[in-house]
Amino acid sequence: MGAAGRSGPRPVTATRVPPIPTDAHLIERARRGEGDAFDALMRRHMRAAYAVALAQTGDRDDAEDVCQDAFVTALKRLDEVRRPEAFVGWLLQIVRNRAHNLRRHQRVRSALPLDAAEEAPARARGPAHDAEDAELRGRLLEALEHLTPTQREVVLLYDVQGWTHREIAAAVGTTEGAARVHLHHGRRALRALLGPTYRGEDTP
Amino acid sequence: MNESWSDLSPLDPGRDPERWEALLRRTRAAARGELARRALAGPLARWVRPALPMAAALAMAAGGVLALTEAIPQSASAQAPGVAEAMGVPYAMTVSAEAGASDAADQLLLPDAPESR
Repeated sequence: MGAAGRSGPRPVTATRVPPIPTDAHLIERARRGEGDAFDALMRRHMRAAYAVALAQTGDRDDAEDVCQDAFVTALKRLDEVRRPEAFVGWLLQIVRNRAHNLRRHQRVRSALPLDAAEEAPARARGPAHDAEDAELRGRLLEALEHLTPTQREVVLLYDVQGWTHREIAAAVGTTEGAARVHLHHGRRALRALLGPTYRGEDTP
Repeated sequence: MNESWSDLSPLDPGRDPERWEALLRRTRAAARGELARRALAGPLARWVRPALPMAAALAMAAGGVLALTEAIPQSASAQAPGVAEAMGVPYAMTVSAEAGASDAADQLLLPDAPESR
């Protein structure tokens, strides 16, 4: 019986979803200068890079500068990636190094291009909302300052980015158990600093 | 806005999509030069990569030929047919010239002629 005579649901293969490219595949293409591959890598890992940069610098603008710098540095050094499956850990180390350099040289916002500096204040939400958000951010960042850099990274990656302990352990270069401990201590410190309004759940 | 205090969501960059997209755009723009360099270097590398071992192999082969040439004894090279012979100069004359002899012309012209004529 031919396919034309069949009735019923279409085969599953007809609605096949294209596979999500792996980091290894994207890295290989980015090495050849393919912009869309770099773009995909950036979109995939920028949030984690930002969390680490924010944990290290404690400032949104500095964190953005660090992220931008780190991604360009990573692209330049892409040939050094020997284990593409560990790309994110390698990238986050670059982020830490760039953040360290930024802090050391006290170059606040100096690397930000002028057009971006003009773009930043142009946001859709109202000024009242922005001010409220800024105040909350300021208090949270101030509280985070009391944590160790690793605690800050773990708390931000877990609570803001929704990473698992395993992912955090791989990215931070520690064990899952140690990541849990860092999260526990970090949250406890935040609760002590922010009061009962901070509802960070205890480590599951 | 107490519920915002309940977590760290104010620190989530996704809360400000415009700002986030601006960061991505800036990073992409900053990477453009390096991407262009890589796009150019890729095809070049594809040509250079096989050419390098080929050049090395050629250099080794040329070195081998030179070493072989130097190893041939002088006498052997002298006995081998040379340019002079190829140009039609008699072998006897070539040998004589190489030895520095000043033989008479009749000897060179008639090297095998009998003494008693």
